[in-house]
Amino acid sequence: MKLNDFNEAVGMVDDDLIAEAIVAKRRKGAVVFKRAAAIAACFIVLCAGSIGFLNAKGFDFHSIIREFFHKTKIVQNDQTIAATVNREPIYQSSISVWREYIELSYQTGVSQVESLDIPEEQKQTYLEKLEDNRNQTDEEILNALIENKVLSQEAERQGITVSEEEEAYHLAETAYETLKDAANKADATETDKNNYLFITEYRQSMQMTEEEYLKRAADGYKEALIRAKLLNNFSKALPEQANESDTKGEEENYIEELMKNANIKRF
Amino acid sequence: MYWKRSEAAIQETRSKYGKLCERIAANILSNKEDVEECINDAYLGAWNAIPPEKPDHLSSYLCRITRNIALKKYSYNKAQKRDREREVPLMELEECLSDARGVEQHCETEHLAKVISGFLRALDWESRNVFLRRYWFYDPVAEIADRFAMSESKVKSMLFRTRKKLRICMEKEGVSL
Repeated sequence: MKLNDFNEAVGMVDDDLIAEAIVAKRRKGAVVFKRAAAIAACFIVLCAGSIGFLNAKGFDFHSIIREFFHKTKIVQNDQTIAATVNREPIYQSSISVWREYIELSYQTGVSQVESLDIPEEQKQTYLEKLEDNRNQTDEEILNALIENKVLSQEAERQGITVSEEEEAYHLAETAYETLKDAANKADATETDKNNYLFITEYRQSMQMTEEEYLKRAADGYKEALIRAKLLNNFSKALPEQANESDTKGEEENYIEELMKNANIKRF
Repeated sequence: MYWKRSEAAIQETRSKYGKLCERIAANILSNKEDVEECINDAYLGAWNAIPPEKPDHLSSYLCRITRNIALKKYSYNKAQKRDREREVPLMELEECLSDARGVEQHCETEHLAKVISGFLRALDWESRNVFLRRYWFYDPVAEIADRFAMSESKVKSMLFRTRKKLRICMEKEGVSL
């Protein structure tokens, strides 16, 4: 086949695909925002939620997470300001903790994928995604953190709140108890044990009691819930006939507008 | 406006889609006059074709006309050795192909277009649009990186993987390579 013929065939792909590509664009930070959402359940307090650390044969999960918490404890002391959003600082330490977490996700992820009994092609796809996630730049991570901060500030400006007792604390407690119960069952799997181990290691490294941990976890959930409420309120105000893709687009425009109006300084 | 044969249609098209068409033409042709001529021919092509044609996506339709005209001009210039600068995106795709010749080309191309459309639909949003921006719109890698908020190296590796997957898909679908 000649290259020109092939090129002609590419030129004949369906119109709707071209229409999509004409407008396809991702805001800076959105990539990470999406990825961040996927791992937020774990990271939320460094963290409070359910994780997905499966057990992989020959993988020393315990020493890896110990090392992870050891490193995050060190980097958390870095009070260098990476950016300010309407004068509120985002510290370099937040970026570093993210970076460490991404590395942890990569290590555990690769080990899990390699131990799975799935076709090689599918494995490759998972590994590529893990690799992409690992390749995030500090700038991308910072963009995501800035976006979160902008949303939190806007939520606060609009007076959006959640009741910590009723929602955030309850959520943190439920997640914690679920993981704890699963790990303590007689027939607990290695995955169940590892999930709970992640939190106990975190508590130990931060020298927290259960109660202190739950309060901290609730704070993390609270912020996430407030941001979700802000976007939910925005979506509700859209015309009823807006479909899922319209809503997503409008939401992205809304966030972009908030970002434009915020006073963001990067250092 | 096209259906009413209003001459304002072309002006309106120019103001709404002019930049988009210009960008596609400029990605393929390096000469500014060629680009301008190509766009004018595209508007004229649309004016002559609508009606009877009634495209669902006017933007895609205009882009497609522009792309076809620009590629013809590109081939002409290349034959005349006037333009060798824009070959890179096309050459990248060459790894999906071999040098075999002599197939029933028209049917083959239509079949291949269907295979490629199906292949693209099965990809994730990002890989699909990065591929199309590179090989349909011929956007430079740097612009794609900016558009999708990712690094240039990530765009390149994503394109490499997609080309590799496309080749496998074409082999599975029995496309003559």
